[in-house]
Amino acid sequence: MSEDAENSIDVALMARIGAGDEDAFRELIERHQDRVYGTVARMIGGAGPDAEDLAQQIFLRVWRAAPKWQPTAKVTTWMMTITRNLVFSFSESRARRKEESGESIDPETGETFLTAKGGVTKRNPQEELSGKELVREVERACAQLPKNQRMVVHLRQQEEMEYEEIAEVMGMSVLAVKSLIFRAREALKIKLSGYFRASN
Amino acid sequence: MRKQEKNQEGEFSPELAELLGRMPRVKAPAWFAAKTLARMRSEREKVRGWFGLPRWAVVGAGVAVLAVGMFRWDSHQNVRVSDAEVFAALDALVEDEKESRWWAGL
Repeated sequence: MSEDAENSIDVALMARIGAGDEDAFRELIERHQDRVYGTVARMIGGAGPDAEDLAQQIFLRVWRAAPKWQPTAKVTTWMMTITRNLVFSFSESRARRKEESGESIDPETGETFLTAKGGVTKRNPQEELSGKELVREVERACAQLPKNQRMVVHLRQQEEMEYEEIAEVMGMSVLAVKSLIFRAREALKIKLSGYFRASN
Repeated sequence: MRKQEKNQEGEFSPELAELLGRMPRVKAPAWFAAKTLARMRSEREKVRGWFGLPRWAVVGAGVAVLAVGMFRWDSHQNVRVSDAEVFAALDALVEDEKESRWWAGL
């Protein structure tokens, strides 16, 4: 089904949700739960109770906003914007609390990023890696990116969103999004260069 | 298909895209929709309050009733009763008592 058709379904569901239709709300959740939960989990460093709580909060915001919602943007873009806002404030408050969360402040950008318990493992790049180990290394490398870069990489690579949509979600220009992706790509290339051959 | 197109644009090198593509998509846990709906209903009940009315309306009505009650109570404090009326009421009580005792044969 095309993206426009998918969005039309979402818009219709939003109209029903705005009228208080719980069945429509359930349908919307089921349509987008993996996208929302997956993004939250990727952004806060893994699945778990925090990710579930945040993902639920996102859908509750959708429910509350539905009566006044206007289809000015795609529903998925709007939901990803809510996701970004909640996830970023969660990360900031977690950093402020200075809990043992594994997050640090990037001295250059002031952004929070996950140190992902141990960081990328120092090992011989030529060493054979099992599929799971390699995935773990890639996840660690991504988790070490500053949150803005992590978010745009996720939206582009995993959610396959257009630059314009990502720019709307992130509240920045398309050029700024491209710049973030470029920086993320360079950082990932350095972190994962040793595993390129191993992945083949 | 679309990922391939993106890679051809040179955004992520094929090797990097291949590595990133290995990351599994995290799926929502079981019963996620049901739990979210339950949470929504619970929050709505909290907001709704009692008798299907918003909580603020019920609390506001309660405060208004209390305020009116206090006002009425204060206005009763200003009622003046003359001494004669008090003594007449007491006399009536005594008479009532006497009559009751007479009927009881005491």
